[in-house]
Amino acid sequence: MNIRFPQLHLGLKTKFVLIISFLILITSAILSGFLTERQSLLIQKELEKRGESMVRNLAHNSEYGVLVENKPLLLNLMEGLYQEEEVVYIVIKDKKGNILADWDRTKEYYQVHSQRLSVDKQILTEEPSKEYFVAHGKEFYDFSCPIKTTRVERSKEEVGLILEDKKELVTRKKKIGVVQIGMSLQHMRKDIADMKRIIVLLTFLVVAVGVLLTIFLVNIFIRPVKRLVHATERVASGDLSQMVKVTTKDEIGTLASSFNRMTISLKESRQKIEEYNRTLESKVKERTAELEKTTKLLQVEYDRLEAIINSPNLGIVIEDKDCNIRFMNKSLIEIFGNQIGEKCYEKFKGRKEKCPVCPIDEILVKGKGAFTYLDQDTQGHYYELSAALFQDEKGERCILETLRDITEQKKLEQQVEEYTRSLEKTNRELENALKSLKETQAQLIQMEKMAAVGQLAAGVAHELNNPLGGILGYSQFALEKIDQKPIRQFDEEDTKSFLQYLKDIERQTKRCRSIIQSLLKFSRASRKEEFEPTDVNTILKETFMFTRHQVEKNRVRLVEKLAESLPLINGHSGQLQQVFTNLILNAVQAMPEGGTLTVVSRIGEDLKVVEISFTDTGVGISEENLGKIFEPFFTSKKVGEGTGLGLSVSYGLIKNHGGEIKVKSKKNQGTTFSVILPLAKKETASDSKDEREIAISR
Amino acid sequence: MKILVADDDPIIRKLLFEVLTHDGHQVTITENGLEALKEAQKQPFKFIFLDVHMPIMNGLETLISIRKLYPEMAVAMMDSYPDQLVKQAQREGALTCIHKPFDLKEIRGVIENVGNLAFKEK
Repeated sequence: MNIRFPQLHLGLKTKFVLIISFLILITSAILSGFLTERQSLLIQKELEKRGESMVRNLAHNSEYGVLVENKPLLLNLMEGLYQEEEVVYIVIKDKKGNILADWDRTKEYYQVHSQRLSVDKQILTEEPSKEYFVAHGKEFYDFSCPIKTTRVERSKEEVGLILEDKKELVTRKKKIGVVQIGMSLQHMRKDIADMKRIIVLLTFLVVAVGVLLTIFLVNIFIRPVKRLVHATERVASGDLSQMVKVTTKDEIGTLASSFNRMTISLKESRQKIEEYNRTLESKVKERTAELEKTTKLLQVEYDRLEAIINSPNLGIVIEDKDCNIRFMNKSLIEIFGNQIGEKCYEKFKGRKEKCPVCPIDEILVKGKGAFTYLDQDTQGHYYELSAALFQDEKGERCILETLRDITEQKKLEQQVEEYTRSLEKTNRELENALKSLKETQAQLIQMEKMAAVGQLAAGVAHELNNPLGGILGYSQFALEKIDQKPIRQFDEEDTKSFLQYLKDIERQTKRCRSIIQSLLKFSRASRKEEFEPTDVNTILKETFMFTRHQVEKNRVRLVEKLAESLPLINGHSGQLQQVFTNLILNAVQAMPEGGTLTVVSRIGEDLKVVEISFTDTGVGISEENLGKIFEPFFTSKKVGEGTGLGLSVSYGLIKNHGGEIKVKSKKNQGTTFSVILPLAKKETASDSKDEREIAISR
Repeated sequence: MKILVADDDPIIRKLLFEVLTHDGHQVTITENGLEALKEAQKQPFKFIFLDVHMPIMNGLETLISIRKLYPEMAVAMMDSYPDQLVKQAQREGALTCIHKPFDLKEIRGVIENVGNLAFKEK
């Protein structure tokens, strides 16, 4: 059924309707055509049959009338046929063609007809026959039938008497006349036309009904198909949510349910695909990230390798076992030029044959691994050469050699040796210098000590010279008086004043003695090397005495805030006095316009140290200098006024006591030096007691 | 002669007061430079002995003030040990400097010189 429809965009419905309508139309046309023909024929046949039957009957009945030539009888016979509408004329003739009786409805048609026919033919007709003719534009049939009889030889009277032998009669039949009936075809034509009209009408009706029915049926059949198409379109556009609502149990129903099943499975598949897509996407992302990471790592690795390969001073060469150069890196190409494909010994060593000691031979013998040895080229460069064996893509054994130009290193090593030698020399010199410096330092410390002694001497001189002045003055005054007036002449007044002079002299002398004793004590203490339990307050008081003059002279008010009783510290009173003197004099010098120096001694908060602070209201120390003040030779004083060692020596001395010196200062507000000294270790018993207390407090 | 003595050491003050009073001078004693200035304001002294090292106001500062306020008064410094202040004092117009422990002759000699100068001026 390869029917090819014209390429029109017609719907299935239209196509169906058109095809079926066309078929109905054709079928109806054929049927109606056939029916029309058939009916026309039938009507015509019936007419003919009727005509024949009428003419035969009339002929049969007319036998006697014709034999006797009785016209009224014949007319009477004919009369019954006048009723038939189609009959237009009736003629009965004898065998000679003479009209025995006739009837003509219109009085014209027979004439027309008889004029056309010969008498012979009319008479000679053996069997009933018909003839078609047209007269005055109208159609007619002329039916004729011979009138026969078996008693032709007999007289007219005997006619009704000889009827015994029928067989004989039949075979002896003779024509005695003819009956002619003219029948108009007009009625028949009219009937046929009516019939045709009805058939055409019916055909149209059938076609119309058929087309409408087709449309209706097609609609019914097409609707589920349309739904299917609609659903298919939606599915095609991606909407898998809707099912086709077709409940018929025919093929379309099956198709719809199959389609629904297909949609569901499609939906499932799509969900699976989507899910897979999602996981795929994340997997792809993951893989991409991994790839990126790997790529980055590879790039880094590649860069690193490239950097390694092209690192300056590192030559890399790959050779095959016959010493043919296969690869050189940049560094080597820069030195030797591109020699790929050449023999290594020719280009690197300038030889015509293999070197007597060849790393390639060595590594080929060993088979694997790497080794390092020193190589020297023609230009006197030193190389550190490493060789490693590997196989190329063809399986041939190749040798990777790395050459490191160590000429510079060699030179450097030599230089380093030289430097080391000269450094050793310098070191020795430095050691000597250090030794002499230490000596100088010792001398300087001694000088500082002397300077302190100088300060002390001034104080002592002041302290001594005043009482000595008194002693000298009163002695001379007394002597003068004796000179003027002998003792014998002394009155009471003189004696009294003399006594007073002597008392003054004694007192001043004792004062001198006390000063000298203190000095001696200090001197003795300075000479002592060992530490002993010492009272800080006592040392402070002595120091105040020796420095009192310097303090007062500079209009500095000394405020003493000494703790009533202090635990002993383990120390060297001479060294401590030196430190305190130094701190007091520094404070005094920091207050050129005078001020207040507050000296506080107290036990530290943790009861393990004694803290002595010296706070002045002087110029302060700049932050810049604060870090340097304990450095040796640092001084803010004019050249010659200070050694720059005072604080550094003090620092050393206090460190020696296991203590420390701290300093706080604010520019133009003053400075506080704090000396912190650890307490002397108590006896073992109290020590363990302390420990017990600590254990409890924990 | 009206003489003013300023020294922080009581024994020196006492000695000078007794010796000079015995010599027939009118002697006023003070403990420091500030008191000396107050006394100088009260009465015209011919001669002033100033100890270099004194609390509150030292000899040099007192000397400068006296030279400014009472240039007619002669001033001699006393010291117990050689010091920068002594040299400075001489530049500032101190007549002389007597080092402790001093001989009474030295004191008397200085006073005599001042008397002679005064006589010459007259």
